[in-house]
Amino acid sequence: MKGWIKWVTATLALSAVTHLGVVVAIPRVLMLVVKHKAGGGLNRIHHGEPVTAASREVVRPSPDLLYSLCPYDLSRGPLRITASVPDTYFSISAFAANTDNFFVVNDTQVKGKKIDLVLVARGSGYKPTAAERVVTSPTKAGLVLFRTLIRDGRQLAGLRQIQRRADCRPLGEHRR
Amino acid sequence: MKLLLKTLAVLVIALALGVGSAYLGIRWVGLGAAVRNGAWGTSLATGSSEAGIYTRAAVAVGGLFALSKKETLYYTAFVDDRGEKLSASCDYVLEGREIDARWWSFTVYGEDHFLVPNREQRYSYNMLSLQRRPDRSYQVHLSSRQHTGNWLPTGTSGEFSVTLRLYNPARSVHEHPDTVALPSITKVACR
Repeated sequence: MKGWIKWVTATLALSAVTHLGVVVAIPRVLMLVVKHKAGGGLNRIHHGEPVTAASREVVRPSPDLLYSLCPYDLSRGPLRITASVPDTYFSISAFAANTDNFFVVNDTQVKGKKIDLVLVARGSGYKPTAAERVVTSPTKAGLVLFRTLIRDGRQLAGLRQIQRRADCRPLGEHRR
Repeated sequence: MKLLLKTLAVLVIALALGVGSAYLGIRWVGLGAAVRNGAWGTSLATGSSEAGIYTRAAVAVGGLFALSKKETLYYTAFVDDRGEKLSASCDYVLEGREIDARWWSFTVYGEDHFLVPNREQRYSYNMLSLQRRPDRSYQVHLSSRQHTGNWLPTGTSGEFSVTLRLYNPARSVHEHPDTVALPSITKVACR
């Protein structure tokens, strides 16, 4: 092979690897950025303020929604997620480390006014009790997002009270 | 020394090519290139594990933590009905009718994908907050200048976009996102 062909081939091969690496890495890196911005650590819920132009944690936020988020790491065991369901659209969604949305439940899909879930990592071997609703995360790390729709600004104070009842913490802490 | 310089050149060029082509690839896929409906675009793979690596990256950049299509369908318009980019130096009228979903809303975003700062702190209209005509149709002014009636500020410079969120859309909507009747976006004038 002529010298210059070898160099051009090496350049193209390396650029292809870089290209794929960047495309695959972007969602994971942005997930880490959001976790970092949330502050306060993993396996804890963070209740967001009503969205304004100053809200810069997540791109394209909806001003119609109240957000709470829980960045998680299931390395040390399952996580228990609980919430009260308001009289408006409400959902809990879970995102894997690569940002895939692997689970969502909304207010119309639950019986009663409470949601109680146990989040476990795939392959964890966790044995749930009969009463537990288990959600399996394809990755140990990820993020749970709570969305509450503000149909009318006059409902905001009441919805924020309900928003703050949502929780997410290691299952062990509940059993102590 | 010559070999070292050549190796360094290969690394720099490969890095620039790789990062640049990744940027272009993600931008080309964008937030709504998969399905077109007038000025609007949406990707049915958004938020799901069916999303390819480019869609996943594009959503992470421009719509992180989007939900799957049955839960929420996100249409985004970066252009008007004639396919010309939405610009803050122009005025537009968005006109439409009821959409078959549990809840729907329009939100304006700036080039940076965040809400457009404005004195009124007005960023969106939803199915309840819109002023309607007697036949339930509606008109929204998209403009940097204040308008009476429904008005969403678009910022003072640069491009902007509008996202239409449909929460729990009807099956007919999420199964036929390319034919459902969506609002038109018509350019009125530019400055």
